[in-house]
Amino acid sequence: MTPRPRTLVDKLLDASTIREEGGRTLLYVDRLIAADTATPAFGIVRSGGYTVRRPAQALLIADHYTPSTGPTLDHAADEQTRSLIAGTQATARSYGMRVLGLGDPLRGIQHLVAGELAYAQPGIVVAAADSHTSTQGALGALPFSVGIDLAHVLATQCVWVHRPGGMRVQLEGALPPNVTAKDVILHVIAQLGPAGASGVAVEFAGSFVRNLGVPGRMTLCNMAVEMGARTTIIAPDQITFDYLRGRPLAPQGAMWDRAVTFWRTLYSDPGAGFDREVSFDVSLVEPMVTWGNNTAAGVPIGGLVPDPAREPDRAKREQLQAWIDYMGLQPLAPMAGLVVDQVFIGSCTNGTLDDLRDAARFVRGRRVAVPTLVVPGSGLVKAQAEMEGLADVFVDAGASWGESGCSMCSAMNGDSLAPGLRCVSTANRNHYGRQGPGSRTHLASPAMAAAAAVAGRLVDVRALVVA
Amino acid sequence: MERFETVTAVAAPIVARDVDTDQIFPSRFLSRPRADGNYGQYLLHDHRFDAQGRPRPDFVLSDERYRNARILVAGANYACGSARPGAVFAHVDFGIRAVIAECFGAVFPTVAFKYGILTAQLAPAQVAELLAQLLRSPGAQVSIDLPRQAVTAPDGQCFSFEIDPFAKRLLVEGLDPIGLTLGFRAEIERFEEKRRAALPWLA
Repeated sequence: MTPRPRTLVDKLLDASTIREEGGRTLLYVDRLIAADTATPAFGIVRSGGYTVRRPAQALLIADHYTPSTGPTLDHAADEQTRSLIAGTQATARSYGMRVLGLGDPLRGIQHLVAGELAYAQPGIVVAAADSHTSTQGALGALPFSVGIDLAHVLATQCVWVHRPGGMRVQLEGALPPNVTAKDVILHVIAQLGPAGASGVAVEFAGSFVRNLGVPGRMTLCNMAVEMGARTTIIAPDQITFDYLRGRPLAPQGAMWDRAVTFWRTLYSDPGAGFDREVSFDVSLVEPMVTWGNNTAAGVPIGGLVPDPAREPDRAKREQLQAWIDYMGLQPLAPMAGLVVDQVFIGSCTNGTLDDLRDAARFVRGRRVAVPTLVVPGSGLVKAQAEMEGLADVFVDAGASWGESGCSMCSAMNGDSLAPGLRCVSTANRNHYGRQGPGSRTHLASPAMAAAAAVAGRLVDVRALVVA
Repeated sequence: MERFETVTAVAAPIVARDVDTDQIFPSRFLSRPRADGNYGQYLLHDHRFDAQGRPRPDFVLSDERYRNARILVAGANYACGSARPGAVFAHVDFGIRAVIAECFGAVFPTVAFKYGILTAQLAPAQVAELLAQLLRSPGAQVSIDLPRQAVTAPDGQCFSFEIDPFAKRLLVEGLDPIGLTLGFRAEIERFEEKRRAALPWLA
């Protein structure tokens, strides 16, 4: 008898299930990540009389509150954030956890660092509080964002999950010049909507994904949560293995061969049942930009702000109008040419070396027209970017070059936007007040953000001559 | 954790769709310590208060009649976005015991029930009906009977909802989920042994 064909997510869930109970699955967590936001979770562990059950499988990476102005606690924005960084680092150490704290050259945004270290690996379950833990699906790991359930994972090394349904997003074809994975995922989310993958496990597949490097795959997986995905994965392949080989926590020697043999079994079987399948031709994707206050509010750069009067559904019509009012826009106004006040390049969505190289192409030899902050996604990305001269490109153009961290994406480290200002950001969210009260955020790719920084307005990167 | 069996209380209509956690708990408050129920003031803060901290009179929770609201009836995809703990604790501290919506963000419904908050999914037409009744009669009450898995609208209409037995038991009995899981410690340890043998390179 041949075994029932299974999706990759089903295979990994089956392999990590400890028990089923009342409609939930108790799932084993191979590796967990905590951040400098873990104070409430540590508090629950301690007040419950629990401890960190498997500290060797737990890592703390400070990223949310860490200053972009410098590598020490003295640079922290205020006393509160300083004490949260210091407190979480000290607590994690007291439990015997490994800590990548302020000043550590390997520190950076947790989701990118987990890949760089090969802490996230194909076939394992990774859990972290943060919603963008989904990024690690790019390596073939099964990621779960657990919010305050981090306390439960710290204390038990397990998490209770609802087995999610499966959704395959097929991305076929090749990108036109100057269109990136960021544009693809903004396009997909715009098409499927903010709840288009509500509660399900998304597997990205198709010829575009098979040919895409790990950084681009991270951008796709990172943003699946913006359409409600519970978890996200891409089947690991030679590109994944080549990325992982030789990284600090990657298997070595004979263990490497054993691991790769196992990793090669990690794919969705032909005929495996997905609850939903959707397909996109990426050759039709254009550079995207969001205009409203949800990531799904994206249009091609040549597009217009929607007209609420044409929306038949009342709740949606009111939402469109509220976003237009908040963003200070007019119905049917063209996106191209919109004057911007600031630019932010970085975040777990677009903080890799590839992203910075992409952005630098549009800045090299030019001057930025508006205040521009470039924050590499990790300490390793920062060091490499400085070595190959990318940092100089940005600084020579008049941009600021910061220490790695979440910075102006979550606006919790002192980097924020003043009320009413308009910012082009390479991050993942444009919600009301996301970059500070009254802030207006337009999401775009690193290339589009860099082009906007130079022009001082939204422009179509495809029309620009690159230095 | 406070047990949840039946709750009959004023229900506040949060009509907008896709109310994300940046709205529910703005990130600038995340560094503030939580003590003595202080997170309730941050719930939907920038909808309730202007830049000077004055109440915005047009927002539903600024209305005196919703001072004792214990239930929210919300538009689709409530609490999408960030998984920040503050979003859960803001509801707890405000006194919210249940949120009813057509669907929720990815993480909120997976943790809310562990802190005594029921997230009940109803059909779009049922949520629309509840919202319409609450908008017609501000301050009206909604009843939730968790053991019977039923929501009773102000006009007496009854809607049933699905919830898995695990979440229901935790809510009804007010159990500590960590203690419950550690009750399976022997099973977890057996699994860990098996896992170490299967994936020895993780050691």
